[in-house]
Amino acid sequence: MSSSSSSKMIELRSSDGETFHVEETVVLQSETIKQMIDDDCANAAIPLPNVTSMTLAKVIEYIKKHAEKPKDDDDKKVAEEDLKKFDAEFVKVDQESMLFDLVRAANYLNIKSLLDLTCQAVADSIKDLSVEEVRKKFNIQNDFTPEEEAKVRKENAWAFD
Amino acid sequence: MSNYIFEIQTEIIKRLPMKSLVQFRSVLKQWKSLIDSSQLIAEYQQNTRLQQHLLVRTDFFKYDCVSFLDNDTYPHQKVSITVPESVPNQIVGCSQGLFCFYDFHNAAVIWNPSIRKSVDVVVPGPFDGRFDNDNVGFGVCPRTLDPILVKIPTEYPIKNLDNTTWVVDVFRLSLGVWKSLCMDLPTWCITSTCSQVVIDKFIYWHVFERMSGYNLIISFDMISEEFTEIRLPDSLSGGNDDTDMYICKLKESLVVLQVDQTEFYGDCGVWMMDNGDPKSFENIYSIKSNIPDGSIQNVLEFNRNGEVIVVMTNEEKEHELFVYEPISQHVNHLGISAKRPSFFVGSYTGTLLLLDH
Repeated sequence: MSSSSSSKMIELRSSDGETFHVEETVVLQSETIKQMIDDDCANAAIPLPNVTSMTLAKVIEYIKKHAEKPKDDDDKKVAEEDLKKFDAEFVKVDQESMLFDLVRAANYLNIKSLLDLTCQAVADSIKDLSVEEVRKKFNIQNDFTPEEEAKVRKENAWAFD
Repeated sequence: MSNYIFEIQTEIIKRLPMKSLVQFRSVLKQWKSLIDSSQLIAEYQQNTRLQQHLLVRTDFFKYDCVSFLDNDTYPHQKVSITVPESVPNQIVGCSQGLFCFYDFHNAAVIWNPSIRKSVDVVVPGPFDGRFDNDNVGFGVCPRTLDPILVKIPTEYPIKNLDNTTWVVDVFRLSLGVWKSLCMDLPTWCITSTCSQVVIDKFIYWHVFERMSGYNLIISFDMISEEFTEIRLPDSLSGGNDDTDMYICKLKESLVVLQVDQTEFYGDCGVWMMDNGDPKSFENIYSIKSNIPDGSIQNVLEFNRNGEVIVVMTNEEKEHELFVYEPISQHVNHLGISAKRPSFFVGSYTGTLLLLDH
């Protein structure tokens, strides 16, 4: 990439047809989009059929914030603290489905730090749930027979106290 | 279930705390296979959010232990853990969150307190039920995460002076068999009760120079299977009966504790080796036995912050565990006491190792 590319704008199109213009340097945090640009597939708007406009807007908010560069070392410390606060607030979404949408988007767009952040938030939200509640949340159909399930639980009975 | 959805679930599962992870084995067969996989167990070992704990056993003959969470809440968060009843009395050591027990009979037990799981290992030796005096060491190889036992002869092993071959037996849990390593007779010898410490890929023992009886440290490299001698500075190598020495681990560094034996409870010098360099042994501080709060009888272990777990006697003449802060010399109750002073305290990190075994 040449240095003049910093001001180049990339156009992204969400699954519901909305378009977003984002600076190339910002959007390169997505390995998936970076690959498309490297492969010269980014001349027209990049279609993102798995990401809704609502989710994409959130993702862009995240990558924009994470693309900000601190000016000096003092600024760096402040910026790090600021980013931590931003991340903590970012995953406090009203609807849980939004968090899952963000996990899916981070996975599809291959943005590692966002995947880390959102998966950890989901993990924190389910860690105290019962096995039945976890199945319900992930829409999982239990495939153990009652005997098998009892056996697996018995292997680690202490964890269910 | 599509692979895509499972891929995302995997990312979430990997970030769960240990107790939830173990519970959620029964959510779905695919979850169980993932959580039990050696890949997830190894990845989890690298998890920086893994917690440090201190295991406290009041007596060799008691199965009930207390595990303290060794973080900012320390010592206020604790759980009871029961040692499996099959375990031998003696705790050999701890590495990568696993403990090993052995008491000179034909069985050793490797135990993971975090998931309450243990594995028995048959130790070769005299099969007529006699005690086997050999020293058994224990470590977990940081590269393969394979638990390893090392059996070293304690007695002068040569009956025939022409024969200078010396045999050490090494057991790897993944292979399930003992393998003999032959080597030239070393210049050192070990006793059955020599202290051991595991740091990175090395198991360290406190041993004695065969001819002079001076203190030495040897290391066993769990990857290359080589022994290396570490010479101690003159003030530690001894040859003097007025001090007793044993080794310990302080913040991933090897420390030698030198206890003055001229008094009933002597002062304890703490010597640290920096970066594995034997020339760097330095007396970082001494723990005075007589402090304003009483008298320290024994120094057992260091916690995550480098504070020291010590034994003192309380007003009821019971032996009690305290946390000693080396700079201020203040002590705090750990809330554990016993009639006999045979405590074991071990610092360990939570691990999923043995879950797949």
